[in-house]
Amino acid sequence: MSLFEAIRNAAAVVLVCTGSFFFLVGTLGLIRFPDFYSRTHGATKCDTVGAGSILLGLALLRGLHADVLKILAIISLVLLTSPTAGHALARAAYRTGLRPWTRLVGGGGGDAD
Amino acid sequence: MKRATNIGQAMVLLAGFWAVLAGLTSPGLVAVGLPVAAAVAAWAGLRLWTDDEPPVMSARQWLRFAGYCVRLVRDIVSAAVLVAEKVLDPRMPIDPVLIVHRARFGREVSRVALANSITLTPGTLTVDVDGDRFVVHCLAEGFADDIRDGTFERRIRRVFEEP
Amino acid sequence: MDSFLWGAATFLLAVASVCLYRAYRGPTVLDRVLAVNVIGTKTMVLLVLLAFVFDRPLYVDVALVYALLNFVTTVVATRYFETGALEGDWQ
Repeated sequence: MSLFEAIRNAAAVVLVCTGSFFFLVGTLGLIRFPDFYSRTHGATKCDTVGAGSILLGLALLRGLHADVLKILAIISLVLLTSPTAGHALARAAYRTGLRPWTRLVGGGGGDAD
Repeated sequence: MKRATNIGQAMVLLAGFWAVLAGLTSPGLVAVGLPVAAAVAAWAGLRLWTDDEPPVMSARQWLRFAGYCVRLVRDIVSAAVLVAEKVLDPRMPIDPVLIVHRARFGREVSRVALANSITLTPGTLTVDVDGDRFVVHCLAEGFADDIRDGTFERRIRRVFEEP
Repeated sequence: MDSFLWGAATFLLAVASVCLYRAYRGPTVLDRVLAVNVIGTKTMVLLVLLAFVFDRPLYVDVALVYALLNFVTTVVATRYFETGALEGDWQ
């Protein structure tokens, strides 16, 4: 294994680990946050970064190959659709009258759970 | 004329997508892909973009758009780190508020860009867009500062509204 | 490298099953849709990982389509919940 390959593999490992970490954090947010709106925060941001990071690591691992273009297409798709999906969800919640949880009202607003 | 340029841009984009998916390695794939890209682009130009002016961009706008994308990626990463801090802190230090921000844009695409930028930057999430009214959910009051003082708005105006 | 990717894939699967708790628990319909969307994103990444582990490049194409479908599913389910209809004016 050449030095170049070693560095490339190390970078890929770091990227995949970072992505996995953000996926874990997004999931913890999905479980821990007090209401739907804050859960959406965690899900949209952490999942975008998590997916992007892992896919970037895998693209790096593949090297110069046609598959890399497909993986980059998936990354840009995730960057584009993830916030839009989050916004669609939040808007539906807002328009159907779900109130956000606040520290003042505590469990009174939204759906503290 | 404008519509023709748009259909042309969409066609190049779709043909590129096809090239990525199929790999333009054989004449058969090219023969199938290019006409389909043209047909879909023409259909989208006629049916999907009738309400609003579609995004025609000049070379300078494309360049600024690229810069905007780089900045956005940086923002997303810091947003994810911020959410991670909040989630991993056992006290869960959040104090969510809903704020209303008004921004008037000339084009639909600017509103989309602002809504997406707000969603992808630390601590804020676009909840509803109605005309020039943006309802934003913030994990804490302070995260809304950049939106309130119009930093975002200026940035997006520079990318999409100036020629 | 393969065993590392196996580990990452297993980890993703475990994290995705944790998300099932939110899909099961709710409490609102939108919480469930959000959970399913999040699981979908993880599944998509899992597919790409498996493409590498099993050396099946075709799985990447499947992942690409899955990413698109995941988005469409979320938006349609959400819109249906919001308006109670799939036709008509979507603004």
